[in-house]
Amino acid sequence: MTPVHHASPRAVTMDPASLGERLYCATLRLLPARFRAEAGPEMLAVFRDWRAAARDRRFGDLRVWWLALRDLATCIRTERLRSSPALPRIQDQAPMIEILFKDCRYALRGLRRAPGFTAIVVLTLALGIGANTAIFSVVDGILLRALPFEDPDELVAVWADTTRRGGPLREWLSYPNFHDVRQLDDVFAEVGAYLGWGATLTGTGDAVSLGGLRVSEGMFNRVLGVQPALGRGFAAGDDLPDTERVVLLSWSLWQQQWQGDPSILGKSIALSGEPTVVIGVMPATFQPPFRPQAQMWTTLRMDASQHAGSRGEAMYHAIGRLQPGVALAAAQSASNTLGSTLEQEYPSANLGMGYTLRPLRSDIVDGTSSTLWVLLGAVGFVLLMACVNVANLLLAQATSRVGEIALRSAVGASRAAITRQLLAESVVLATTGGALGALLGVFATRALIRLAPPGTPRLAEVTVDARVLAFTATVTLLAAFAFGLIPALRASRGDLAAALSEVGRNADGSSGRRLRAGLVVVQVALAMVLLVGAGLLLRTFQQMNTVDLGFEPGGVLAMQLGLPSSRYADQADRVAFYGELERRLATLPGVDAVGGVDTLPLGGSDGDAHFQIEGRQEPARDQERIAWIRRMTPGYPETIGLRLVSGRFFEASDDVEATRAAVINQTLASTYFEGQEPVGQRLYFGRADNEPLYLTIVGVVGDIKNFGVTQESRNAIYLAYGQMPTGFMSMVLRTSGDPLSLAAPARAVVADLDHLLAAANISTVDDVVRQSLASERFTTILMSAFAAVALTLAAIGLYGVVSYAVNMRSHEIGVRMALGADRQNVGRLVIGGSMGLVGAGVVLGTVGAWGATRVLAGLLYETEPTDPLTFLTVMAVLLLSGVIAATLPANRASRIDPVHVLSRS
Amino acid sequence: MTSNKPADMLPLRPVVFGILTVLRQAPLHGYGIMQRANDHVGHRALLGPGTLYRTLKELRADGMIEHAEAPAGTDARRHYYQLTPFGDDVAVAEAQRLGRLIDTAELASQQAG
Repeated sequence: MTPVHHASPRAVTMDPASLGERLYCATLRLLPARFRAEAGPEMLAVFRDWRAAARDRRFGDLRVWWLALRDLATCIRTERLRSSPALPRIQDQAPMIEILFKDCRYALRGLRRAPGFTAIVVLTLALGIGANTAIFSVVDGILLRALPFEDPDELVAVWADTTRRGGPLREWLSYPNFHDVRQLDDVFAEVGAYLGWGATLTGTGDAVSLGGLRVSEGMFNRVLGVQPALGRGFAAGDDLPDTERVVLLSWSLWQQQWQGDPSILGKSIALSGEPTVVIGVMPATFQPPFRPQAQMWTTLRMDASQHAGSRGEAMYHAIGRLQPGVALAAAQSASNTLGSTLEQEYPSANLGMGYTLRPLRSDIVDGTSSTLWVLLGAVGFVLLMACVNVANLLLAQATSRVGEIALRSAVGASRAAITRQLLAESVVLATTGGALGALLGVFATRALIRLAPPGTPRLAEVTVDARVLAFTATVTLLAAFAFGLIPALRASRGDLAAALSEVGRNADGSSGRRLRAGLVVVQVALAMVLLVGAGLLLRTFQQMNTVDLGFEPGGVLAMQLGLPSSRYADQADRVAFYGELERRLATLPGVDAVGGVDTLPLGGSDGDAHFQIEGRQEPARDQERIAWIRRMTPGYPETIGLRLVSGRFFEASDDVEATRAAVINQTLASTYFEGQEPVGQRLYFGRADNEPLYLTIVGVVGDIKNFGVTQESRNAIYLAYGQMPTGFMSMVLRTSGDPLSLAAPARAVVADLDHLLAAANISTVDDVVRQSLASERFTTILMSAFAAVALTLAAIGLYGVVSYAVNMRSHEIGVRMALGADRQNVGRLVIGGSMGLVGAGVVLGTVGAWGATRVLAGLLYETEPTDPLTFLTVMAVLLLSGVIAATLPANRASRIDPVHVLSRS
Repeated sequence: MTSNKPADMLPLRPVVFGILTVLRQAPLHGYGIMQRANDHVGHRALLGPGTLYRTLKELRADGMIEHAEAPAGTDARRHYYQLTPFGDDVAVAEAQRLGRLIDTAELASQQAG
């Protein structure tokens, strides 16, 4: 009986602080429990000091790790042996752990003898495993991990479903519609709403433009279940229209603007001129699921009774928390019932509209998930290719070691022992490759985060943590078996006598050659699939970059301004402000044209409207004519490069005194005025029997991309800013010089005009276009990188096989040359053989790519998944690489000296 | 404790001699011992945390070192170690043994030269 230890071996606590220390602690678990309990905490402390001391030295951390791991290996071995003294030390019954160590030590010695081989294998694996670690950490952080909120599975996104009247499936809610769904307290514990908010902070140095959100009072504490780190959260009274304005700061804003000074709590700050009390600071880790870059939050300050009339104004996003135990389906059906009731009660706003609920996590990551899965699939292919490559190398190596293995079994090594030994080699290779890969993965993950398109959801949650490392470890072990098992089994099966007699000549049996050739064919096929995938994405990206945007982005600077309604309540004030701003900006040196628009091109939706055409039947309410609305100043078309098709642009005379004017786009003109002259006709908003607002069409302009470069053209109506002003505008400035050089002077003009205002999002319009393609660029770069790695691996694999075949066949080639074959013939023979393999791979790869690229269909634009040009180009690239990879061995073959070869045998 | 005569402990492994030499100067905590012992050996670190604690355990079992009180103002959670009188004797005996060895070696090379 073993004595029972009452003190738990983990009684002495270790508190690893960093990932490195956690890793070290994990390795300590290999030590016997008793020793670990005694020495573990102090070893960790020493390790910590050691790393701290080495931090400033070049490769210091790496050196410490290397020495620490070596030290641990010694320690683990001796302590393990000591703790199992009862076992006899007879070879066959030696403790498993000792056999393992022996095998590994032997394997290490063997691998050290072939440093080139080892380096290639380890690097290949590290590349494959590192790339997989990085992509998996991104997939895990964004798609797999639960949202960082209380009971995240209870959270649902609540949208208006307007598909029945031809609108989107995920439309925002109006305040009354939000208010009504919030009353469903059988199924919802709480529903919260939010909408975007921007304000200028003044009184703390330069005026700063800040982005944030207005949220309903229950959003943080009752829906998400998060509390501020400092101060208090929103309370019921904060949400009412006439109470004091309050704001919660993000941790980073608090650090930037107030250097983390807690005395700011309870103080009043000026946001767009409004005194607002800082009531709290959210935790540094708090990342709201929507608009992660928000810097501050305030309340909606809404009263349901005051908004009875605004049921048609959809502007709120809503998130609900289900009651515990309530299924999504039950909540959906309750919402459906509510939807139909509201439809009957308020047909003018709600006809053809219902509610749709979606699990919050998938709702947030929806746009990103297909891209990420494709990337994970592609990077999995790369690892598969790396494994095939390594298997191929091991096979070749095993063949050249056939003599050694035969000798070992002749002196009594069992088949199991030899298999185990060879497997140990692949485990050592895989572990080294895996460790290096994990390291590579950490850096690659950081690079990916930096490269990721802006607005990627949950990016802050992406880290290389224990989950990711567990994934890497699993992948590594699987890889070790994948590439190690076949060579190990084959080598141990060898026929002793045959092997010994064959040494030095054609040691590789014909089945071995076939196996290796087969692996190369598979590799070429895999590379083909990846290359075709990357090729299709490149074509897509190229198509997107050559799309006619409908405007000229080059040489234009844009900046955003928001006039607070408290100080610019009057429409005339806003018109006056922007008129004066435009005039002053135009006088800046280098400025060729100035204009303003409420939403920049590619800026997405900023409201649509139902419109009617004078003299035509008004459509049924669920078949409204819908157009996007843009307001612009007279200078805007020239500045942004909008094309005039007929009629005229707006002029300064289109002001409140004049007839309301409208400019429509070509899509609207051709949809509703086919064969007619639209200029001079009248449109109106609303209904003829209910105070319609008439607009006279004065011009038709070309279509521009408002949503994204791949968007289909939609109806658009431009309004004259002088007649329908709003507080938020983007000013654009065209120059023949560098647009960014105008940023500082333009900012100064704004400050001069109103020192409480600050321009936001100052950038070139070229950048706006680039940003809109950021996601496609990200996918294309990664896929191209993977494809390049795949191509390299395939070429290396092919080179290895052909070059090996030349060595093995040198005798045969010598005989051929002795019999009169000339050098060109021999070279052709070798290259021809390699082209046979590439050809087979290309055929197989074409079939594979034909099927596999269909998963890309959703990511492609103006490119078919079976685009023949891409397929042909990739085939040509592969065949060319095949020729290049075979040229070196072919040259060698053609220089074989028949006399030398034949005399040797 | 297996022996109480210093001579019975000799020869010492280099790691053990290194640790004893370092501790003769002052009581130290684990990392301090490791760092100084490695400095003594030269540029290559021979001693890692695992080997260090294994050796410290042996030395304690042999009665050559013992826990010491942490000096005032230092991190009290760290264990400090100091030499026992016996450990000091062993270190001196090993130093003398090595000294004699060096003398012999020098003599031999003079005779050879």
